[in-house]
Amino acid sequence: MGVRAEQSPAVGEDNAELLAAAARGDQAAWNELVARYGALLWSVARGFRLSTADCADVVQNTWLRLVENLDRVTEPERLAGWLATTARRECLQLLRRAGRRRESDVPPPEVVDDTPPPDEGLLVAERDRALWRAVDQLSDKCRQLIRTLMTTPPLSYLEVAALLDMPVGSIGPSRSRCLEQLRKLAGEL
Amino acid sequence: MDDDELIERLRAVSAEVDPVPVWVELAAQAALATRRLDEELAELTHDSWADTPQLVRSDHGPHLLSFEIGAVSLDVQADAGVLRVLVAGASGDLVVESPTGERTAPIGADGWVSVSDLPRGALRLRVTGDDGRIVVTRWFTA
Repeated sequence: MGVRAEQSPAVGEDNAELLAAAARGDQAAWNELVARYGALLWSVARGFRLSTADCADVVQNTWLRLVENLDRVTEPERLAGWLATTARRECLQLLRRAGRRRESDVPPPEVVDDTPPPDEGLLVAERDRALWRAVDQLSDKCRQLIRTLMTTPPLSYLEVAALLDMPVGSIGPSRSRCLEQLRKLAGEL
Repeated sequence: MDDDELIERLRAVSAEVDPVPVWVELAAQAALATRRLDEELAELTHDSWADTPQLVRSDHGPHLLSFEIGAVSLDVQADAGVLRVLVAGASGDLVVESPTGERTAPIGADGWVSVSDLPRGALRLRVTGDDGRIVVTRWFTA
């Protein structure tokens, strides 16, 4: 598959309308944005192996920043990328803060990976179970890439590249390599 | 399963196994209520954590942040759950807002005010400038 184009103009126009309505205080429009991009922010945070509480902070701070900037979004078609980048920055800040606290001998914060265990019976197929376990066993780089590629809604390769600070041309090859790793970990597929 | 199908499968599995918790979604919806149009936004002009390289570990002191808009400035020192703020260009009360509530502390004659037992997560500060306009800082994490 080639490089995905930026999201369709329709999404951009639609985002522009929703942002404008939210800026006027339209709660339904805002809720629609939250519904559209909430899962994206969640998986960006999960990509850093953050606990549920820390993921929640990251997601909430990202939404607060969007509220703060409702009048200033100049490229609504790139809202997904802006949100994902903001969330990533929040994650890095949070990890940095955690590191500093450890450094200064204050009790370490809970940076616990409490991603739900893969075997909680929610997954019908054994194959899916193996797959989900395998994502967690990937190298950090591959896990972040795969987590970023599997978001809902999907990000364009340009957005993924900007988000992970990778050349856009390397996304495709890295994706193949990481999926290969994933297949080995999950067994066949 | 080819690569595209595998990614699609992962997308579906992820939505099933690790969905956004409902309370996170509700908090996100409520975030719109933090928007107010009649206030001026004080920009972050300095952040000691952003301005020092990550690998330099010598700075164990407080987190220092500065916010400014027009004649109003707020210099913040955050350390171990306590905020000390030097306010210039405003007087009266300092309001510390979190997404779920707020508390108020009087600004001293010397411009200093301190607030302890900070709530978890993002905070912002609000003051009334000497010209009567309300100033609010950007959200930050102490």
